[in-house]
Amino acid sequence: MVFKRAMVSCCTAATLVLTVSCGSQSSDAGTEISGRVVVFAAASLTDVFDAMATAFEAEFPGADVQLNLAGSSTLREQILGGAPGDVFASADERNMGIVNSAGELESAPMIFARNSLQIAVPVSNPGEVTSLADLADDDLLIGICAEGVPCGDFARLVLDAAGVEASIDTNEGDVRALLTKIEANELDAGIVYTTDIESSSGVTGVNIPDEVNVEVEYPMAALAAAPNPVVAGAFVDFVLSPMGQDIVVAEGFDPR
Amino acid sequence: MTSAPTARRSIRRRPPIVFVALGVLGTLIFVVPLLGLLQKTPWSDLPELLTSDIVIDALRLSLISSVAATLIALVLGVPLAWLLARVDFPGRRLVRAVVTLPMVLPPVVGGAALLFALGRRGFVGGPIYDATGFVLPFSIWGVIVANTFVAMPFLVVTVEAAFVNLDQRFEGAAATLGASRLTVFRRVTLPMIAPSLAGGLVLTWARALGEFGATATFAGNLQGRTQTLPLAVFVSLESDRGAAIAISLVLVAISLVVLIGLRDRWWLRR
Amino acid sequence: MSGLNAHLIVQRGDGFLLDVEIQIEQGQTVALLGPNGAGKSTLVSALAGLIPLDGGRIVLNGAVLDDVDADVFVAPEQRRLGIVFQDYLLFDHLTVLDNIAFGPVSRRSERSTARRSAKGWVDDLELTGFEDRKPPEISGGQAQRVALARALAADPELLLLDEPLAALDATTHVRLRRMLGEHLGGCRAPRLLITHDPTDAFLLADFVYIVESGRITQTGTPDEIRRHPATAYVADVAGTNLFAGVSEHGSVLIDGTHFTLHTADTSVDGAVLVTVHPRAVALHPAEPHGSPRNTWLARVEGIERLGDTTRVLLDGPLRLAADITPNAAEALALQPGTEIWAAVKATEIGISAA
Repeated sequence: MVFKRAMVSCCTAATLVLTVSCGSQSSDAGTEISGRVVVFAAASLTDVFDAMATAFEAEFPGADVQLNLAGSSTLREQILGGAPGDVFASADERNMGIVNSAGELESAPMIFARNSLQIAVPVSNPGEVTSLADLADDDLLIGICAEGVPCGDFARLVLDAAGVEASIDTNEGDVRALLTKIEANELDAGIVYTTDIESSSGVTGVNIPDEVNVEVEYPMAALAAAPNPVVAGAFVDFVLSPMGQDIVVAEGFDPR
Repeated sequence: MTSAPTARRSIRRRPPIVFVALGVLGTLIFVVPLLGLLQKTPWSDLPELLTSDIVIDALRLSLISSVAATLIALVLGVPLAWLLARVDFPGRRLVRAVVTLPMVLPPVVGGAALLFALGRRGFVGGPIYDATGFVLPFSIWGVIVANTFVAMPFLVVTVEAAFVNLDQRFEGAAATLGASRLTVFRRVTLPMIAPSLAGGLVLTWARALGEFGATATFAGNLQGRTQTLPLAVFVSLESDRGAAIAISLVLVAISLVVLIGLRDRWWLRR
Repeated sequence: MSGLNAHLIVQRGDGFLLDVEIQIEQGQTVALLGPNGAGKSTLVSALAGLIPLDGGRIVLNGAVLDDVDADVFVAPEQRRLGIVFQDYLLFDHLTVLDNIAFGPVSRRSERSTARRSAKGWVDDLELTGFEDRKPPEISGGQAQRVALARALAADPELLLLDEPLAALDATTHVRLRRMLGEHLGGCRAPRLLITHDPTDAFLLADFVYIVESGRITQTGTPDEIRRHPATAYVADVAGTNLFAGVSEHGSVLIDGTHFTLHTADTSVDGAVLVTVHPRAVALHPAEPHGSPRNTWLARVEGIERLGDTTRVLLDGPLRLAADITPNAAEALALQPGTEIWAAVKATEIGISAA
């Protein structure tokens, strides 16, 4: 009888201790940051979000970041089609806008990074490309991203602004494929993001003058139907925080 | 005296219910997505979409490249199938495995491999480029090569099986009647495998028509030059969903016309 | 030297060895008679060149077709053979006419000439009206005739017939055997008939080779084979008594004799072939009374011992052979010249329309 009463009070005490100690590990909001968070991110954000996921998981050990990387319009279609996701980071504002109009965002999108475009050429630069004007050369093999792909739309804006009628030989479905072909020296030049030049060792960049270049703004937002809204919000906050912005800059983007 | 029956009595048992149920499920897998496509079709915009440049160009390229790929597969594939079926040469199993590889590889990987070999810096394409300036990728020839690469295995596999299953005594009989080996092939072997060959050609053509990954990776994507129907669909999905659906309908329509037109004959050798 | 001169040695994968020597002269029909599994089809394939010899040589009209020691091999398409295959192997996708014309057309003959001569064969073999049909649309008997026409139209130097009548029903068999006999007779080239049917062999061939288990066990004219079988197989299958005669309500007058055999089979009248199995001939020292309808007094011409059987060759109103047990032969004290009564039941006399 005595033993049993001692056991009960022991267990109760232990439970209290555990609850208190667990509670002290929670975030400022007072709730747990744990569980899976699915981030839909544009393919061009692969490197930065890889690093972001690692850092986030280090900061919040209970969290598990899953990245769904694809072209922004593909991600848009998936979200509109009801695919389960927590956060959407797009490579352009058009796709984010469509998702917003459909009421799929939890709150207004925030710009978390900026980028610009550059001409990518193989390291040996066989086509001797030194400016946008060179892209009008018929003899060169030039590639840009397809219309509707953010990188492609921006490239067309840049070419229009510079008044260059480029002799395009292929419209690639995503910027990674374009980079691969330039790296392999199968294309003489292409227009990609500045961040792509820096992350790839097989290509060198040729500058595009600021007056014709575009400033790409990357928006991000938590999704209204997020399965894990708490961690979704925490992730967005993290990316916008100084720690997150350090990573953004480290990967070659301009901060927000 | 019994009178003759006025109507034929037919005793037909219903097919087993399990088969029917499973069969219906199986059919639904194909029918439901098609219905999804039809349901989202912008019917009123269709005429305009279908006559737009992007569709006409893609249709032309698709037809040219798929037919060309099928012809190349026929000319090269039939002799190859014959060798694989009839001649026990060293490394035969290896050759057969390599020939069927494109059926197993993801098409994008196939396209990448083609690029590494036949591109400007490829170990075959490189010397050709240096010597003549001819570039295979980013041209319609690139599309044809990509299509042939993924589709030809279907022809080789089908025709090889046909040769193996052929009763060779007929060829022996033709030989004893004085026919040279080529005459035997032309007048006896080919006619006897004709149904299988036809089926193989249709499969090959259909595969070539629907090819996307290898074409995109090897030949690139440019309207009028390399943008086949599947590529046009993919690109349109980014910007204009209505156009994407319209082009998809074109693909479905062409396939249905050809397959129904052949009326089961190639499907089951009827 | 003209005609076929062949020593064929073929070692099959399953251990079976074929080792036979065959000579056939121009205008001669030789039958190769033997049980199934005796190696007959292997022989056809070897002669055709569809399989190579493992030993020996084949010489046709002086030309060497296959010589293992001299390492000479002529491809099948270069040998001028005409083959009627056991399964006919007609080309289903070609018409009857094109099937028949196949040989000449393959040999670069002018297509119209070839088709015209093929039409000649169509009429010859009573296929008129069927020349535009395809093999799946004709009967078994017609298919056999097409196969024969196709072989003959190729103007062969050697005609090979592999069980040509095996797949036919009884009535067609008899009819086509007669037609075959006529056409073989008119053919100048040497002919080799492969069969397991002794009646076919004896009626169609000038000379018979008995082949058992890949070896020749006896050769001779049909008469010699029948009267002097060398092995049990020959005695049993090939040594049956065979006569031609005219039947009327079961009474059969045997050609070349004044003797009438009575058979229980009254279904056939007119010209018939009569078979009496040697085992059906009973021998009695005194005239038997009772059931046998056919009894006569015969004289023993010769006695041969064949394993478990004693074959007694009888002369008299009807020359035939009787198989009895050795014990019975001893009990009857048979010797050449002995007179003995022979009896055969009416039910044991087999007749068929000739």
